[in-house]
Amino acid sequence: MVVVYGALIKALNIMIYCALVYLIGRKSYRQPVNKSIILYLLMLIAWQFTSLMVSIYSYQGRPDLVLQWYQLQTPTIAGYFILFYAVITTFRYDYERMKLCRLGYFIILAIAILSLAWGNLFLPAVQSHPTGLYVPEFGPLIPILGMISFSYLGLAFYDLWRDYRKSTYTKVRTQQEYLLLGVFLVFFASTLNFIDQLQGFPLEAVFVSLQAIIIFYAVFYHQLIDLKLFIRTGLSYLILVAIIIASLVLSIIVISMRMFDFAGYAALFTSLVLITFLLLWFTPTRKKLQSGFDNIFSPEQANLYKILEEITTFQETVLPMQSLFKKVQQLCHKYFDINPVYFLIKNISDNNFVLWQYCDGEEGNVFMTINEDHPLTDILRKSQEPLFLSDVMIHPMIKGLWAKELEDLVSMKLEAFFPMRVKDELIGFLCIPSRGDTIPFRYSFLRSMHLFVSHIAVYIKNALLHEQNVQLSITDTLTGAYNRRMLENIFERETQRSNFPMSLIMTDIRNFKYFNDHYGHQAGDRVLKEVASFLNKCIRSNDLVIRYGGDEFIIFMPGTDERKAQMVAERIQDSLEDWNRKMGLTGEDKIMLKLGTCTMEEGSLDDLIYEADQQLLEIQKSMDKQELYTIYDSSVREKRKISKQMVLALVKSVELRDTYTYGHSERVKDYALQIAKKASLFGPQLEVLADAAILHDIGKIAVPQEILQKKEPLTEDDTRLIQLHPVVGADILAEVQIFEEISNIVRHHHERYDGDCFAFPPAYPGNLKGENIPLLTRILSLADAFDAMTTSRPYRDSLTMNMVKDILEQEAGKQFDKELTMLLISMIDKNELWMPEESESPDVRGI
Amino acid sequence: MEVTARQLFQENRQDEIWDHYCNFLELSTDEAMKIQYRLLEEQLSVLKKSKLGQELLAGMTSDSIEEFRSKVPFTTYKDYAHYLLEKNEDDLPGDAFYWVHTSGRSGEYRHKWVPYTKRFWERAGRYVIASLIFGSAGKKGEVVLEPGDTIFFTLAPRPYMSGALMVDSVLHHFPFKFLPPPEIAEEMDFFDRIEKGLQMSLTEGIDVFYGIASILLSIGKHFEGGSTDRKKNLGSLLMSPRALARLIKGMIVSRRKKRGILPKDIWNPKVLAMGGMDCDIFRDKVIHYWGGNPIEGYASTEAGVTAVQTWNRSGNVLIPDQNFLEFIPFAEHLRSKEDPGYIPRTVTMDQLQENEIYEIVITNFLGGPFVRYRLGDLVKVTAKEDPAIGVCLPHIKFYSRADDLIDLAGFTRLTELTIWRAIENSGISYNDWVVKKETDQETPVLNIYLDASGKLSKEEAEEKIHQKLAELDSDYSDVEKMLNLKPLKVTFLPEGAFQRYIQKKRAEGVDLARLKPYRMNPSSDTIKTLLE
Repeated sequence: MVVVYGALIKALNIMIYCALVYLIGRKSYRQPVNKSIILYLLMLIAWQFTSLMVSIYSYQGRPDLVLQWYQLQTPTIAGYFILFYAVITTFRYDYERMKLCRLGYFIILAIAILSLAWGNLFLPAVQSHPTGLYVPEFGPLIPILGMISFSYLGLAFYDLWRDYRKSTYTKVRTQQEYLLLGVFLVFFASTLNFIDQLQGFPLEAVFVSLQAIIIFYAVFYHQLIDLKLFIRTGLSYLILVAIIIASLVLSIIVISMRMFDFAGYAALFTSLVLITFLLLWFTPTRKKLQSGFDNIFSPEQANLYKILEEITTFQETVLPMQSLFKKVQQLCHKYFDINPVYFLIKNISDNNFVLWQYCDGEEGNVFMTINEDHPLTDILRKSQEPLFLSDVMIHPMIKGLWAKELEDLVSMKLEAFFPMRVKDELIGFLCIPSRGDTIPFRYSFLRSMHLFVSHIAVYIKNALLHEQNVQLSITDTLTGAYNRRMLENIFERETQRSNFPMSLIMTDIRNFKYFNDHYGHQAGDRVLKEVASFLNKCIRSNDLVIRYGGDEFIIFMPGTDERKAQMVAERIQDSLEDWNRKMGLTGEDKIMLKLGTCTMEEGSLDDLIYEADQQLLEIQKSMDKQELYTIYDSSVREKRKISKQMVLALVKSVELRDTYTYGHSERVKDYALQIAKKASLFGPQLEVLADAAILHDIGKIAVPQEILQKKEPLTEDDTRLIQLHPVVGADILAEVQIFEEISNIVRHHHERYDGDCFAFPPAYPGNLKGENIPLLTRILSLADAFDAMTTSRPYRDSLTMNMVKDILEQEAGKQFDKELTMLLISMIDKNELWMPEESESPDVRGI
Repeated sequence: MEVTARQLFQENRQDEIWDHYCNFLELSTDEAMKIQYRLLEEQLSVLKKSKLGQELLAGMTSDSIEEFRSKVPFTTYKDYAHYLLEKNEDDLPGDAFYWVHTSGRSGEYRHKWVPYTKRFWERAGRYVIASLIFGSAGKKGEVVLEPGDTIFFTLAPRPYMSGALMVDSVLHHFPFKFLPPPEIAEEMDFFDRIEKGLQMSLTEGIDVFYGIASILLSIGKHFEGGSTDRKKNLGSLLMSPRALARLIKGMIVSRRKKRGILPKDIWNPKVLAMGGMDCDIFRDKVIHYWGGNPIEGYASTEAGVTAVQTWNRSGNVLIPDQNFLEFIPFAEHLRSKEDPGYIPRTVTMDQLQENEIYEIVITNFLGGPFVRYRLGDLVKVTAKEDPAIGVCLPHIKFYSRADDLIDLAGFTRLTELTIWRAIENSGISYNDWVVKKETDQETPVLNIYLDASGKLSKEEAEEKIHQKLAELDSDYSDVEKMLNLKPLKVTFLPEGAFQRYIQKKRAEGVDLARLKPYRMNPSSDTIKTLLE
């Protein structure tokens, strides 16, 4: 019977191997690992086939044929060991070791030839065995064959073990564990051959098949069951089943011995009672057993139960976020030996993720914000399972990562991300830091951690909602800035801390009414939101932006003196122009802010606000006084626009007459504005300056074209005519009501700062000098001269930048305002001056 | 942080290679566009910090991509020459990690130098590996390449982009074995290198062939013809059992099939990777000689790898993370050619239309210097996606050099590929050819200068090529039908004209890339030299 069962098992093995070959071939028979496994399986088929034939002929009682098949089997056994080693080597891609495999192939070939020609050297005869199978006698070459085979097996074990110790990847490590189990099984199966009583039983074949299935499983499955978990569960259930069977057997014996008198219904009833009792008794026993095994094989699993018991205490109250983070961190440290842990929490307001870590103290430590469009956000959001950083890095969307972002991601040194979900909503991730080159996390640990994180998600969600409510109570819903309540709270807190001096900037949107009137109230709301966001970008980390009411905002700066507050105010004013440009707001659509600053060493919040408010009023008055900040009504604007267009046409006509200065006004405007901005001028001052720059040469209309284009030196009369152009221009502009102010700037734009009428170039008569020349005129004068020097003229080529700088340095404080000139030189040096290209004159372009 | 195949093999993570190198195929067009915009945003911020970038982006006032596409002008190498020819590294947007060069078409510059940043360099190498993986794969996820695989490499040496990328970057990623080793190969003449490579591959085998199709073809012909050199070398081959075994195997296969020995009888390359437009022309012959279906790609020195072919050998899949890709529709391209002042409109990857022709415009990512750079290539969109292999990205095919289109009486625009295919299909035995558009009595004529090797009259040759051209290009056949004009003329060159031309140029010390004359509209001097 043993022979028959043995034959059946071998036939079954062959079928299993064929199925495995088919499955691998269908996946890919060309991949090197697959190819080597297929070869290994083919060798197993050959071995099992010869073994099957041995069984068949043993059953038929044909020792001669049995011997022949045994001899044929000899190379397949050695081949099995060598090809198993080849599988391990190909899996490891160790090409040095491949040479040993090639040597092995020659050995297989040599053994095959030897066993065909001189089979007696391996197996000279067969003997009958009590199982009915004929067993072979070993010849002189069998020990050598054994040595070779075991050497290859030993090498396979050595190589795998060496890799296993170095391996830092969970998946690879688990694969290696399975392959090591495969090696062990082969070794175990081989030793069975030496036990005489087991000769004839197909145990070896069973183990080898098991090994083949394990190899297949290890190489082709991506999500391998943790081997420890596998063993633990297996052992646990094995012992449990054994105990149950033993208990049942015992009960039956007891019933039959003791309850014999109560046969029939009574016996049945007793049995039921006993079984019920046993089942009740087994549940705690099983739990205890399970817990015992967990403690031995999977401490993480054991810890999970404890940790889950602990987190049930969270239900008692809604914990603030920081307390919750602290608790979770403590639990992870206590039960999983992980410290610290990080929390990547999704912001409810903007869907961005924020990376937190609990730190001792009140505030959490925010490491970084990962924006909604960050590839990591995309990847994490779709993930249901724990993710390793290595998984993240092979996601195709990660290709969109910036160099800096990649650097940040790597510097975070996170290894695994555990999603926290409540129903389908992603709350965030619990992140575990990388442990460097130490042993990687086991799957069983990851599973426990994943379960733990799933449980805490709901508490995090509650904490988030709680925080959101708190936030809502102190936030202005329209702009997202803080509200007055927050200001009062913070002021009180800071006063208690005596965090003086405290400063406050009060700001309102000067032209807010304009947006509401022209674009509707929704546009007005948008402006408020944008301004709040702009102010938030300009402030320091300890400052607060508060919407005070209407279009007024307050920037509260605890522990800030007047100078620092002023610096913040200046930064806001400086950034405003750029910000407007980035927002695409130009001309009258530019958002303009008025800023009032106040600092105090003591006092109440009302005092502080009152002071800042007064400052703001002062500024408003001063603006009104200068008439620079006139808020135009629509009809004035329209008139101004038309007049401007007319005068621009005039300017064009002037420029067309002087081809060499074509585009000059436009360039002067660009330079003047850049200098003005650098000199911290803003808002309407810039608009006035821009207009003045465009119109400054309008007086050339009175200069004959031949003089303008003259290449020879100018006569005295010519010079006089040209020197008249500021006056003529100013007179023309003075006729237009809206250009009156510009008229004054144009009139003096050729004044020398030192007022020296005999210097060269001479001042055009105006009798003004130094600070008496309006600031805008001084800027215009500098810009005008700069453009003249940097562009070609009929009588000379453009000067080099070094020459220009030299001249500017020489004329600083003489022809030009010294401070402004130095400012311009520093802009040139720092490469901050944007220089428009010199336009081609109309005739050059052939118009 | 980006892991190389070399590392993955070392860490036994070889089953991740496909994901690391080929996962871009999983992207949808929307996702690819997201990557395009993100990386462009990064590139703009990098450009703004450099002198070159500031110069190129002078018209931009914000960071918006719309403004970038509408305000920043198209560029050519001329716009970069000052920075790149003198290697002014301080003015570039990214740190130059590797300088490669190309000879350029116009010959205006001896070499057009191009800097690659480390990221750009590694990314380009990654896509070369992806291309080789695709070339060897029979299906999705299959990685047949393994460490120690041999590469028979016949492209230009370092610092030409093809040589530099292949040798240094690819070796950084994958432990290939080069035949002959690059250090030795670069000391040798191009043809000696091939000879040496062939000899070595008899012993070592060929796992990857990387070169131009004509080399593969000439090796095939060489074998089919039964070269006497081979017989001469037989003695030395006896010293190498592996070479001998390979030859014996080849001889057995060829005897069994009753034909001459072919390369495919001796070698069984995993990948035949080919560059150049002859790939399509010679595909069938290469398959006949070598057994494998060659893979192609679309790359350039300025843009790195722009598109790669996958395992099913359909068009080249566009790569989203090396360059910001813009495409000028063909009509716009023509208009801009006629009126250089006209600024053509561009479309992005997600707006491409199937079967349409576009001129390709690139902006380097990852710190590269080129901004809205006109590569001068026309490509045809063969498909917007390939559901058969589950790829959702657009597929393109090289169509022509923008300057190489020959316009015939406004009826048709012939490409080099069309003319070459017509000559090839005509069955005329030829060594090489050039074509020039000439006028004969105010009539446009397509004059093909042919170095033919068989006995054939001029009229016969003209008729044969004319017929094939008409078959391949219906618009061409309309020229005859509607104008009653046969615009084709064949001029036979003296036999070996091209060989002599190459020798002459080599003697003059001309750069490797300019040894051969341009086929489309070469200069009159070139024609004159060929006719000598």
